[in-house]
Parts: sequence; structure tokens; C-alpha cells
Amino acid sequence: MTSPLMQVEDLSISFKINDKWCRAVNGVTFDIMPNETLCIVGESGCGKSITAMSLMKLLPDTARLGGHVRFGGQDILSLKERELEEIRGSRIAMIFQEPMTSLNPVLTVGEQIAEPLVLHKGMGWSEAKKEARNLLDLVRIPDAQKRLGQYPHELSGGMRQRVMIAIGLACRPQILIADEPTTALDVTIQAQVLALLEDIRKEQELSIVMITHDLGVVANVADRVAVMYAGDVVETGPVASIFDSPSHPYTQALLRTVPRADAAFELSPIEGQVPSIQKMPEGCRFAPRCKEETSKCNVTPKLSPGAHSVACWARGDIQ
Amino acid sequence: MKDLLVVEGLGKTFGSKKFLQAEYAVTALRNVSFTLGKGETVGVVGESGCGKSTLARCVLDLIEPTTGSVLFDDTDLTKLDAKAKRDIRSRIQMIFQDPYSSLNGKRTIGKTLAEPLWVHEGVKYKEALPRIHAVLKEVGLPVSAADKYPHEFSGGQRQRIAIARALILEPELIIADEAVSALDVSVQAQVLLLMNSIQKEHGLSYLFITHDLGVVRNFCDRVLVMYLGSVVESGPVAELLTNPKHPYTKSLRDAAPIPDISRRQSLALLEGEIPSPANPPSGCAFHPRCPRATDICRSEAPTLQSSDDQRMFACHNPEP
Repeated sequence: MTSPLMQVEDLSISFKINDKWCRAVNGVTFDIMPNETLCIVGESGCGKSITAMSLMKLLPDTARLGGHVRFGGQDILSLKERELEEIRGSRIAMIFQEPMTSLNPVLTVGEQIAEPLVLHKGMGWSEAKKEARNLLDLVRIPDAQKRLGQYPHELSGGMRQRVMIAIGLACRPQILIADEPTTALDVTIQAQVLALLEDIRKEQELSIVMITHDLGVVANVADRVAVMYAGDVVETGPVASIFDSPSHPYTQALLRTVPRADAAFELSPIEGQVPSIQKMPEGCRFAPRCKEETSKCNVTPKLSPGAHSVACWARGDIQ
Repeated sequence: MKDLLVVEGLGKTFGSKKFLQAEYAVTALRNVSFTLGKGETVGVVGESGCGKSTLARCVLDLIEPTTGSVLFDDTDLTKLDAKAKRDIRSRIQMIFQDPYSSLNGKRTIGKTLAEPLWVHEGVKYKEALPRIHAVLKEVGLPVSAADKYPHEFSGGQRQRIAIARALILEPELIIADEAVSALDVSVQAQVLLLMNSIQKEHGLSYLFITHDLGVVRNFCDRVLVMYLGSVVESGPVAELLTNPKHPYTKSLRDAAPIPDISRRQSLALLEGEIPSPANPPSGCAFHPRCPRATDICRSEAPTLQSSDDQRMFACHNPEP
């Protein structure tokens, strides 16, 4: 049994709103295994993006963090800024949804890809620029030499996201965190970028943590899945098991709301709204919208043990 | 049955000619024709820059088309004067993608809903209140929403308000431009079902602009597939998606990820990117990316042909 690359234990993230601490992430636990794609999936406000940010301790000081993020014998959450700088962009890298706002508009593509190599690997600029060219080949940008001298506005959305991936991969990280990397792209371009990420993951033996709201993307790229709702991981397991036998009432309901291009069926929406962070229900946070609510649901359920685990009082053990 | 909307040869070229500057022209829409029956939903699907939003705006005459005609209930919208245009617009309404920017943040929901009644019928706010309350109930919001402001609502609720605003004049046609794209799937399903039940109730027609084939499959009767300003294929939704004739339709369908592990595959890859409308390829606009392209595709643009009375496609080498 291989040991996990990163262990997230009871991670909680709170923000102070109107003088009251509100828990946006409510104690989540999951592992990231070597050489796998873990998808964290959920709707707006479920805490998936801030969970991803906290894996690199990128949240502002106004956030109160609890729990542990264990990586390489250290707890990321207890590291100082200077120690974090050695990890960020070097051993753990991140790419974002909107490549136009995360690229610097006044630097050339080449300079931006070379920068992490100069900072982390101590390369000289000319050597780093050469390596940048190789990275553009790796992300399959044609005409790499010309592209190196271009600015982000000269590239299409798909190309910009490829440049982001090249920057992320520059220092050969062990973990690449991708926050909705294809959400802003057209479907044919999305398919290209997803295939690229998958190929690179295999080649480089990298682990990818992909944050997405799109269950179609999850079904096509994930090895394992964590489903989040209102700050909790409600279900986690191998991708085949999650889609073939979804167990949590939320996962089941969510799968019935996605319109599919291959078949028409009666969509059944989940009634009600995701609760506001200031008014989270006690106990299971899905209970007010759940059709299987029981008297136990006012206590927060824990994830059941096993590879496919679920946090729900209405479910027995599930293996 | 008579068609509510008949669009013929619609084209739009944006361009300008400035002093000492080269003239430039971008053809956003090229010879688009379709019909929309009463109570029918026609989807328009395509990727960024395919002209689907330009089409929506040209139909409403929000931007003036360069060529072609838009017959709404036998009246050509492109030939009307301002007064007549305003009158007929009360029968066509529009819903936009982003309910955060399409509602006025400084106005209560009631005031927002009252405005079309004042503009088109001269009804004052107090007299309009019963109708405002009725339409709020119809879209599943409490009557008390009339006194609140947009920031007090979630994205899904705001889209319901936008639907209420479109509905209050009891239009015959609603043009929805990516109306559910910004919503989470669970809320998206709520809004789609609401739009469905409104259609059954009022017998109105939708022109539904979207990039999401899943939404098209579950919501539309017929669909137009657009690429770089032209319709490349059209027909009844189920048939068209089961057996696409145009290679682009097929690629689009196969690139859409399906939440089903048994359908997991390397998403069929379409090489290259969407060309710029300012500099379109010769011949068929899709040929540089097309796996079935031959010599004729590079030189000659295909025209729409019909395989049977319902389906049309523009391709020299259609899928079998």
C-alpha cells in the first residue's frame, strides 16, 4: 500500500463576519495519493476553492485555520511564510480558472514561465528561457519560440491556460492544484486541456487536485472524488464507485440535476438553496434540503470508514 | 401551423472606415434562416464567437442586421419605425445570462417589474401591484420580494426575477441568452423546470441560446448548431444529437463530458482553435479543424442542404 503524498486532517476554515466566526469549511479529511487525480466537486459556496487554497496556506490572515495539512513530514498550516515560499510553486503548484487575470499582462510569456525557475532552481535567465521553451513544447503550444516573446493578450483562452500549466509545471512539482481550470473554456478546448493534463500527469508522475463543479469532467478525469456540500466532505471514494453507486442523498440528487447531451430525462432539481455561511444549520448541513432527514440529523455525521465513505445518518456502513 | 417567427437570410457585419485607416469588417452572422413555431423551443448552440448572441440581438433588432428579414407574426421587424418597433417589442422579451448585471441594484424588485407595464401600457405602480404579485408567485417567489432589492437574492432567485420581468407583459416569444449558464446545476434544473411550466401555461415560444448541449437535449425541440457565424446543421434535437451529419456537431457532442463512468473515454479531440471571425478560413470555415476535410472544403463553402424535411446541414462530406 503506497502512503499518501498529502494528508488533510480535520481541516477547518473560519471567517469573521459581523463579529461572529463562521465556519466555511467544517473539518474535512482526505488524502492525496501519489500519481492520481483527485477531484473535489461541489456547487458554489461549498468551500472547495478555499480548501484548495489552504493546501498551500494561501488564505489571507483574516481566515482562522484549524486541523493539519501534512506534506513531506511537515504541517503546512504551521509553516512560516519563508518556509512556505520554498514549497509554493516549487513542490506544490496551482493553476486558476481565469488565465487572463492570473497572468501578468506586462510580462512576456517566456519571462513568466522562466521566473519560477530563477526563483526556485537558481537558474540564470538565459538558461531558464531555454527551459521555458521546452515547457511550451510540453504543453503542446505550437511555434514555441515565437510564443515566448508574446504577451498574454496575444493568446487565446486555451493557449493562456496552457501557459498557466507550463508555469505550474516549471519546477516539476509533486502536486498540481487546478481550480476550475477549464470552466472558462469552450467545450472543444476544454477537452484538449483535460487530455493534456491527463497525459502530463502520467508522464511526470504528478498528483493533480482538480476543483470543479462539473460532474461530467469528474467522470472523465478523476481517479478519486470528494463531494463537498456547505463546507463538509459528504462522500468520497473511487470514481467508479461514486458514479455507479452514489450513496449520500446529496450526491444522488446532484447527479439527477445534470442535463446530459446523450439522453433526455426528467430533471429533478434539489429544492431550496445552499445555506448561507452565517446561518448554517446545526448537524448535517444538507438536512434541511434532504428527503431522508432523520431525527439523528441534528448531530454532524462522520465519514464512514473504508475506501468509499459517506457522512450520512440514513446510511449504514458502506464499503 | 403558422410560424411565429420567420428569420430569413439574416446577416450582420460589424466594421468601420476611419480616416487614414484601413477599412475593417467582421462578419458575425452570415445568411441565417430559421423558423420558430408557436409554443416551440428552438435552441441555438455553439462556442464563443459563433454568432449566437449576435443572432439573438438581431432578432430583437437590438442591433440592426446588415441583411435579411425577421418576420414576427408576419411583420418585418427590420422595417418598422421606432413607435411600431416599441409596440411589437412588448410581445418579445429577453432574459440575459448574468442576473447580477441585468437587474438595477438601486431599484426594488417591484419597481423593476413595474417599469415594462409603465412603458408599454402606462400603468402606474399602485395599479400594477396585483400583476406584480401574481407574476412573483408564478415564478416561485414570495409577494414580499417586491419590496426588496436585488442584492438580497441569490443567483437563482435573481434569474427568477429576470423571468418575471420578461413574463409580466405576457409576451409570445422569450429570447433567453445563456439564461441558466451562470447557475449551479441544482438551481439550473429548478429554473429550467420553471421555464418549462411557464411555457405550458402560456403557450409561449423560446429562442434559447446556449453553449451547453446537455441543456439543449433536455429543453429544446429543435436546434441550430452555429460555427463562425453560420448555421452548420439544424434539426430536431434527439435525431441531430444521435446521428449528427456535420463533423462539427459530432465533435461538439463528443467533447461534452457526460457524468457517467460507463461513458468515460478520452474526450474526442478536435484539433486547433476557433478561427477569428475577422480572418475566416477559405471555403468551409470548419475545414482547418475537420477530420473529414477534402480539397473541395478548402475552396468552396458548402450550402445548407436538407436530408429530409426536418434536417439541414452544410457539409461536403457529411457523417454517414
